[in-house]
Amino acid sequence: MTLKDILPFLIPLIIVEFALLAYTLHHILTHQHYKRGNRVLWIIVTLVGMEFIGPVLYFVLGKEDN
Amino acid sequence: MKSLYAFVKKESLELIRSGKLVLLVIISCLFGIMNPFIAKITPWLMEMMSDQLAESGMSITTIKVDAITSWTQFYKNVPLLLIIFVIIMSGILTNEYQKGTLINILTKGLERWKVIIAKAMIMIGLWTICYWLCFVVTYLYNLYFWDNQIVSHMVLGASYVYLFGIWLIALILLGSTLFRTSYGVIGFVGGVFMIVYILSMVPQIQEYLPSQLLNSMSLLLSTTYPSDYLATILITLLTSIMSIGLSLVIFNKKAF
Repeated sequence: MTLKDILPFLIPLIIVEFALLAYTLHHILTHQHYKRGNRVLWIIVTLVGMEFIGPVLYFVLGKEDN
Repeated sequence: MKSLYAFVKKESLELIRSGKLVLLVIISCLFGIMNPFIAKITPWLMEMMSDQLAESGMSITTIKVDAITSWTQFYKNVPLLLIIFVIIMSGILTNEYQKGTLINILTKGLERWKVIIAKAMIMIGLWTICYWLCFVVTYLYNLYFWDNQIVSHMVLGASYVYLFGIWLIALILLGSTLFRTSYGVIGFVGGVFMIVYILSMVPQIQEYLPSQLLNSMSLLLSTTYPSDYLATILITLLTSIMSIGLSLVIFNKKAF
C-alpha cells in the first residue's frame, strides 16, 4: 500500500467532499430561517457529520421549504 | 400534453433550486468512489489487524483483491444509497399537501393524473442519473486498477438493482397518496420493504419477490443466470405499475 495507490481515490474524494461541504455551508449561510434549529446548530451538524450524513440531515430536516 | 411538460419542467427546476439534485449527485459520486476504495484498502486493513487476529487464533494469508471485491462493495452500499434516496424523496408530494401548493394548480385545471405521472417521471429520471453515475464511477476505477472482464453480466446485474429502485419509487408515490406526512411515506416504504424482506426468508417464494433483485451480485459470479430472475422482474414490474395505478386512483379521490 503506497501513496501512489491511494492518490487516485484520495484526490477525487477530497474534491467531492469539500464540494458537498461548501455547497451545504453556502446554503446554510444564505438562508435566514430553517425548518428546525438555528444556523449555529446546522453548521456544527454539517462539520461534525462525517462525509455526507451532516449535509443530508440538513437538507432533509433543516432546510426551509420555500 | 403541454401542461404535463410544463409541470415536469417546474418540478425539475424545483429539484435544482432546492439543492436536492446537487446533493444526490455528489453523494452518488462519493459512493462510487468509496466502493473501489474500500476494496483497495482491505488488504492493508487486514494487515493492521493481523496481530489482533493472530492472538484470537486466526491467521491471514495473502488477500486477493480484484474487481469482484469492488463490485461486492457496490452491491453492499447500494441499499444505503436507496435509503438516502427514499428519505430525500419522501416529501415529494407530502410537502405540497402541507404547504397547500397543489390546490392552486389543480383548481386551475391541471388534471390530477398528470401530477402523479410528472412526479414519477422526475423521480425515475433522478434515480437514473444517480444510480448510473455511481455505477460508472465504480466501473472506471475497476477498469483502472483491476480487470472488469472477470465478472459476467455486469451491466445486467446492475440494471436489476436499478429496477428495484423503480419499484421503491412506485411505493413512494403510493405512500404519498396514502399518508399526509413524509414520515408516513418513509414508514410505508420501509414497512413494505420489511414485509418483503421477511417473506424472502421463505425459500419457496424467495425467487418471486422484488427483494431478490438485490441479490443479483451472484449474477456477476456466474452462480445464477439472467433467466433465473425472470419471475421476479415480471412481478416487480407488475407491482410497480399496480402501485402507480393505485396511487392515481387514490389521488383522484383525495381531498385537500
